[in-house]
Amino acid sequence: MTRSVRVLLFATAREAVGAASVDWEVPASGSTVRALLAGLVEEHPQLEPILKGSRLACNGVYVRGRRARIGPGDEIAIHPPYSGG
Amino acid sequence: MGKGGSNIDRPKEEGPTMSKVQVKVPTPLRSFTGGTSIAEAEGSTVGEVLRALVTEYHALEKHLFGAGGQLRNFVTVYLNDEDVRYLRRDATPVRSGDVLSIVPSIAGGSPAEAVRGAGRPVPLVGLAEGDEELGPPLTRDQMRRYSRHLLLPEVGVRGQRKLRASKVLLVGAGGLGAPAALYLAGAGVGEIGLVDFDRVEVSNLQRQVLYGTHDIGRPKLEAARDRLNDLNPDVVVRIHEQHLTSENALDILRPYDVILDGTDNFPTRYLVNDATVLLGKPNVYGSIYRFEGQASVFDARRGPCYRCLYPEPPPPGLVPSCAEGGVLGVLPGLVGTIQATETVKLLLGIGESLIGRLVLFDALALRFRELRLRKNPDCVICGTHPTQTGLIDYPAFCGVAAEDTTPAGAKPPQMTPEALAARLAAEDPPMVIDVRNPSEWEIAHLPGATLIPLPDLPQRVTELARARELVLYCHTGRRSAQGAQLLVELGFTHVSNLAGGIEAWAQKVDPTMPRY
Repeated sequence: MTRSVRVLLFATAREAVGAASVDWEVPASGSTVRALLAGLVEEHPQLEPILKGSRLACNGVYVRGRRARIGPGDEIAIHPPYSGG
Repeated sequence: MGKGGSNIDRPKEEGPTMSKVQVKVPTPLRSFTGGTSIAEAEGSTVGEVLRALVTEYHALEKHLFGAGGQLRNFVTVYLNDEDVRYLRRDATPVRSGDVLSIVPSIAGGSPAEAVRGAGRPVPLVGLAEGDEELGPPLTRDQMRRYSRHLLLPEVGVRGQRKLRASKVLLVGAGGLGAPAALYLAGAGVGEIGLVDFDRVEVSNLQRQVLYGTHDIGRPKLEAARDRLNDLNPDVVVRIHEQHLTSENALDILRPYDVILDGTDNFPTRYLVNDATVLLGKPNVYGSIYRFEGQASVFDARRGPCYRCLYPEPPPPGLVPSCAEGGVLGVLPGLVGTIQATETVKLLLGIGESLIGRLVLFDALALRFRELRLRKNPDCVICGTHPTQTGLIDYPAFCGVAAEDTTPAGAKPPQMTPEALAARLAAEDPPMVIDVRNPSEWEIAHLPGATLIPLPDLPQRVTELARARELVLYCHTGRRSAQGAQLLVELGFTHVSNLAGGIEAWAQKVDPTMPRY
């Protein structure tokens, strides 16, 4: 039984954390995106400014706002904007 | 736990109580509600509420429900800010005070079915089907040139004539625009417009396959026109050698059927997006970062736009430009050819387009991911009640005009390369700190310098003596200005910034130093 969510990191978020994904433990009763991000920022302060403009996806679907509930086994992706051409 | 958004923001269990819900009616449907923009209806689920709504407004029924009584595929309904397709569709429970929004879909056809690939292919660009619109029959030469297209039933002679009658504008003739332009010209797109104002530099050739070594120093669009006309003399190449601005964007984009966004900066991306929304044109989007890429098709008439994805540009300095960040040469080749593929499909009206989907590519993992992207009903330019009706010129901050983001008044002094050279030769030279990345340090660095990459500076500030004179440098002087500013804020008093960075040093002091 997994007790964690998988956080996928892209572009500048990946560089800020130094990994393409991290597994983050959450209570079996679930948590929220907001709480997850707060925990991540505590461990990786350099992520904070990047999160402001990033879009988040939960299990492959974009979520608006940060109230979305998440639970063990969910996959949360952090997509910062980038503009290279 | 369910896939998608079924667990999002919704309580898990709810009894079948009747709830009073507001329903936002989009402008095109208000003629069926007697002009009402917000109606009220009761029910315990989305389906019940909508059925209650059509009981009151009969004329709405055939627009919302199919013959079998099910909610039509192409009707997009949001419960508060979630698309009900990603909740429990008709069965999604509602609570009193919830707001249902019916998001308008375009007239004719059933685009949402095309988005999901469920129905027959729907022409997305709407090139007229009349023969006269397709121009004269293909010539014998064209039959031979395009024979591999003609053999595909999905293209055929008629499709090839459609391509020949089509006009595509590429904004940016760089990493993304270069491969896209080559394939679109090869495919026989009748008219290709290009917007760019750069000259070909040797550092472009690692990825911008449209140009050759003999083109170095030439205006990109001249070189591009020569190459594209050589590849396919049938193609008319129109060059727009200028910056896209709020003044000229609508006029430049207007004559084209499809716009391909291959620009390298946020202000132009928002201009292209907003102009395509206002003009009602598809925007074939691609963007790259080091080893990663994104692609989608934004068409506000039948799906989300770029602002639905990222409502506002990020603040200056947060995202490094290509020049600072580096990019795998083949990456824009992959993303640019995805854009060309989507463009050709749009022009032909075949297949399942990327509308409503964002493709994410990671070259290091060699993995494609796909995200479902929804229209934001509150989008300022393409939402239900748009508040932005014109174009916005955001300050350029990626690349050229990025210089100044530090507040005036507290700016650390600049030191010219010549002055630094003199100080280094004198007694008691300053400590020189290189704030670039280790990969840049390996290309070249100043003699005697210490490498402290900008992201590490806050932690490594203890290594620096406050009394000592410090000179910071980077590639062009921008990142080191941020670093110097930080040191000043931390109480360092003898800090200056090398004006123009190591690039200026190579030009003014040491011409043997490699430049990049």
